[in-house]
Amino acid sequence: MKNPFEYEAANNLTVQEILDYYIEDYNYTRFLESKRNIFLLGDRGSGKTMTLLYNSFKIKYEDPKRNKSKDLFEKIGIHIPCNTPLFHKKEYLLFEDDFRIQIIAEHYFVLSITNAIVASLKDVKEVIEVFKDFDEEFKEDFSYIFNIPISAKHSFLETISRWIDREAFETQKQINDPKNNEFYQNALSLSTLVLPLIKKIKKVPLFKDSHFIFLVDDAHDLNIHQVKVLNSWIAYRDHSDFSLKVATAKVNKPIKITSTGGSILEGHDYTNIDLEKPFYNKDSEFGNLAKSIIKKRLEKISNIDKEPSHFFPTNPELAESLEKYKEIARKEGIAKYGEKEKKKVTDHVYKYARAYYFRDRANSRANLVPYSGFDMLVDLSTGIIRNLLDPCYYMYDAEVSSKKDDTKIEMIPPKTQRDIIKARSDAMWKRLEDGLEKEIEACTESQGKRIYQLFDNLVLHFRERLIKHKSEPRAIMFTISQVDNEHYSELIGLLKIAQMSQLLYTRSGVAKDDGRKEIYYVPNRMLLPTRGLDPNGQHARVSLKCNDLWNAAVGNIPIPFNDDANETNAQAELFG
Amino acid sequence: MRNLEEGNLLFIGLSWEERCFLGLKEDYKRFNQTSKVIILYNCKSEDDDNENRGKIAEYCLKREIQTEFVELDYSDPILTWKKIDSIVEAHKEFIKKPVIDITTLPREITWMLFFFIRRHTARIYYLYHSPEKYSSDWLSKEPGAPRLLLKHSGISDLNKPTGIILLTGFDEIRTRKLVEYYEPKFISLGIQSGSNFNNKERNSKDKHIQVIKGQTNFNTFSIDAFSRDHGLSTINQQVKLMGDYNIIACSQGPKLSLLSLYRSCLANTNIALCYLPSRQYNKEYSTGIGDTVKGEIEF
Amino acid sequence: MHPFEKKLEDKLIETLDNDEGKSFMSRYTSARDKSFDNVISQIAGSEPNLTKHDVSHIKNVLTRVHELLGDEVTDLNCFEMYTMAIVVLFHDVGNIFGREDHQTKSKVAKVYNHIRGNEPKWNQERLVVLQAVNAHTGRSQTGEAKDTLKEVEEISNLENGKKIRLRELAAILRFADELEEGPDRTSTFKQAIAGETGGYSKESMQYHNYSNVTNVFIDRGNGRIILRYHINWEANADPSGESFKETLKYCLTRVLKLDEERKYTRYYSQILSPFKMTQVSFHFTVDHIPVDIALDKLEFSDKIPVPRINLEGVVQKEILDSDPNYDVEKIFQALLKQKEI
Repeated sequence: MKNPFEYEAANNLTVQEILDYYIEDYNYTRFLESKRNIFLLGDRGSGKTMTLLYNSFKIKYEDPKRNKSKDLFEKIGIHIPCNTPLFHKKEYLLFEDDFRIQIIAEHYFVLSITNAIVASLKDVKEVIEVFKDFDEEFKEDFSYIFNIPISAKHSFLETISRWIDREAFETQKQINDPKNNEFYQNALSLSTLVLPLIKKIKKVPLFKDSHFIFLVDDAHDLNIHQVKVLNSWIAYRDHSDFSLKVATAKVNKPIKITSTGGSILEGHDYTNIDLEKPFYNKDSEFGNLAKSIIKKRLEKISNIDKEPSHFFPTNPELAESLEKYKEIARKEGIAKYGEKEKKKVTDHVYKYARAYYFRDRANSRANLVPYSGFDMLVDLSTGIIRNLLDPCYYMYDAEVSSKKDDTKIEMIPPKTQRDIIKARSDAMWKRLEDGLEKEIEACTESQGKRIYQLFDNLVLHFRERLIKHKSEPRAIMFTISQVDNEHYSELIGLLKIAQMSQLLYTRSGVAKDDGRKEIYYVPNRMLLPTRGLDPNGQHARVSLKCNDLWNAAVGNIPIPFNDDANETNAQAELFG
Repeated sequence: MRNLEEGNLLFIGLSWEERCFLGLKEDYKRFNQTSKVIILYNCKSEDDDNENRGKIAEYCLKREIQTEFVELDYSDPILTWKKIDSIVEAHKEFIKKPVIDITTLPREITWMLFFFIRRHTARIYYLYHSPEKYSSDWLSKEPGAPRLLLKHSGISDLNKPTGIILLTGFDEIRTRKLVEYYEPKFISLGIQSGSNFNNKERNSKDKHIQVIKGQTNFNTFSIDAFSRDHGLSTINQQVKLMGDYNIIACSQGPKLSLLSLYRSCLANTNIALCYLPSRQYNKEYSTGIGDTVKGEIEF
Repeated sequence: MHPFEKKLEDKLIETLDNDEGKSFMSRYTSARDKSFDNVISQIAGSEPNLTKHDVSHIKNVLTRVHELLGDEVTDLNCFEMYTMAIVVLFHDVGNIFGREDHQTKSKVAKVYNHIRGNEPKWNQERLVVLQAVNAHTGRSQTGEAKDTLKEVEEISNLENGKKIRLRELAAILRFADELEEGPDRTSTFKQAIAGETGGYSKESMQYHNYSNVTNVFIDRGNGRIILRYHINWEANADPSGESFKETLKYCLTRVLKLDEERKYTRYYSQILSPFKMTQVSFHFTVDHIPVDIALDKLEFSDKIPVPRINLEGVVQKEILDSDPNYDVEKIFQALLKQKEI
């Protein structure tokens, strides 16, 4: 029985699976189909590859919704994965001068792009048809320029495809040759191969107005030489025929230097698009996306036609308790503001109802909160699709294992949900306790210990807030203040490692006081159940002093608690 | 001092492990014609190696064996590659009977030695000394990013997906790391057979499966690195099954499996050898010295 | 120490040896300290409505010089680097007498003499400085555009025949000064109280607005100057958009001006030759919320004429434009005349 919540890397999915699973977001499509250069930023598991693939010509062509659209041939998306063995090859770094290194880095890149272009087009029936009148002329031209053997048996695109295969083989063979470290003499570049190829393709009337969109995936995996090549293409003057859409993680973002030592500038040469959406509540953009993803997976893979909230029902006791506390908070609000001040009363309920429930649970020795329900899973995902699917996968797996027959899984009982959530939360803490140095490169043992202490104290601080804070008890995000501190860069180093291990996420928002953009930090909410906290935080960011965070990390000193309403930056309008 | 031209040239890796020096003594028992020992060490390792360094120097001096300590930066494969090239090149006249004690050499360095020595001779002797006991605690920390071995990165086909053959070790986090890093479409997990060093419990296939399931397709196979061919035929079988992939092959299992992996890589152009570095090893990693495996590899 | 100053000091020491290098450096630092304290910091008092021409402006122009030079900074000899720093230092000191004709030699000389004294050993340096500073704007005394760089000696020298490519340096100074623009050059407070005591005059606000919205990036590696404008439309305060349109129009004028400066200075400077284009992008906000109207970036580059295939129709006219005496008929008539003589 296939688990509907498998999170296989999108690169390994079939065309049909992508069409089945992907939920289109027109906000991104608009940018992805433009002629601009775009950097698509998102942490691991936020759906970068899926988004790129879905916008590739290969998938669009197979999509019954889109393959009849008139712009199908106007915007040709070419998916170029960078996490392939070819991109991981480093032999050319053995060359003594950077110029040669650069040439081979570009050559490998160009081989991958050219291969992706012809692979996207060569088997498409319509394309084969329209190329027929041009095949001979193009083949002849290319055979003169590149000395390609031609045969009547193969079309132009097939000829290029075979030649590129051969070039890739020859290059690797020569560069791996045990006997010498010779430079590969026939190195190709964007200008010598890709652009002339595009010009040729555009001579075919069907492609007359085509704009090629290179969907470069996993750019954070590129080495500095490959990044410089990519940036040089972004800085390329004429983007009428092609543009780049580059997906990268937020940490280890590629540098912005070109191979000529120039720079590329945001807003001028490219636009940054953040893939992570507002995820604050169930009706937020991410909440809706999450619902659609789960619903679609249940339907397509398990043939279950159910709302996610029915498939992942909330524990009745939890639902009941939350209602009870809502009523308490409502009464309190009415007593404070009067019945007529409806908005104020609603705000009061929003702020305090859940806080009272979790506060009482934290103060009592009662069992663990029965964490459950689809909305809870959305909150626990911290706005990352992979984090949403992860507990679902284990829940489904647990249900399948406990069953003795082949009957369909119709829902995940709240108890299973609670157990898995607890187990996943415990596992996350165990990773922290064991030390991130065991899994993250560039993390030392002492940093691992500091990160654990920092998170431990952060969560203790959030817990203290939950119990004592008067106006924002459920704030579980933070910004850093007083950054002119000698330890600021070391602290940021720790936070970066935490980001690399997906224990922490960053978002950017507008600061309350001066309207400037500021970074705020969102700890992975899966950390909260183990400590009895509410993953459904509120619209507020706690401002924590750099020094306090540093002391927590290094000296395991609790972060001072201050019940001052001003220390939070509420920016409700930023969230969905 | 002994004449270089007549004896064996022995390569070993300096380490704080007891079996480093004890192993050298065993090596000498088996190759008592050894005329020079080249001791490779990591410039970034801490002073813990010094005790064995002194013992090795003293031991060799007494027996009139030449020694050369070669500083490498294990974290920089490009520099290391060039340095090993120059060391082997400097000894090319005397490299007729090379011996490599692979016990405390990182896999990557061993493979590099194979590569350069192969230029001058087709036969290399190797030795491996098991410890008496492994620590039951963690073995290594602070992993670096996985990397493909220079000049052994295979010939990758632009139209094939990535597959991994991993000979698993005690640490399942490494397995997860490899899958997260290369995002293969398929991974074949080789599990060491037998119950040496509590292997069954420490390297159970379930714990490896647990960390990757849901993320990629996988199968498992059983392999014995201590068998006569160190598992070569088993690996080749897997390679055959994965003909439709660009294969990345990596060993986290018994050290001896690096031999079979290397030979398989030479025979199959679609294999890239991969190395997973670590910056820190448990100082109590192993104690004592156990069985010695000696053999020769012909290229 | 400014990074350019550091490089200057290193170069002087490398070329002249330690003692002499340091002593040469102190020629610059003593002039810098004295002019900062006594002249440059006082300019705001003389010209309260100007965009900033204080110490930060001098430092920023030096930064722009450094960015324009890029790695080619090593192509300058130590005396050229020294002269570069000195002319940056003195380029705006004339403002102490008022903005009008601040570049004129007599005004600059007055300040120079105050800083350096009247000893003859400074005679050559003074001449060099006055030439370069005089050419950093393109206005003649009558207010007309003038090819001022042409008047600067191509090759000059400091005392004892220390060779410097003066026209090159003057061109770099001029372009660096043109590029030194941005929000740092104005005071938001003085803008907020424009027209009141202590605030900028209403007439000067256009320049301050321009500084506010401008961001200049020198991208030598890619051979371009990038201008990014961030213009906000205050929809409530400016419902007809008059003020917004005025700012936008002014920016477009300045874009052309800057590009002309680029072409002009590049003509006289080998070091500026990589800057083959000016690229411009506009980023609009309405009430400070970004809006995207999908405007492509503007690009100005040197138009190199593609050789024409058929020149028959135009040759006579274009040559006559250059020199009317080249009229074929006229030439022939002249020959005829000669023959008759």
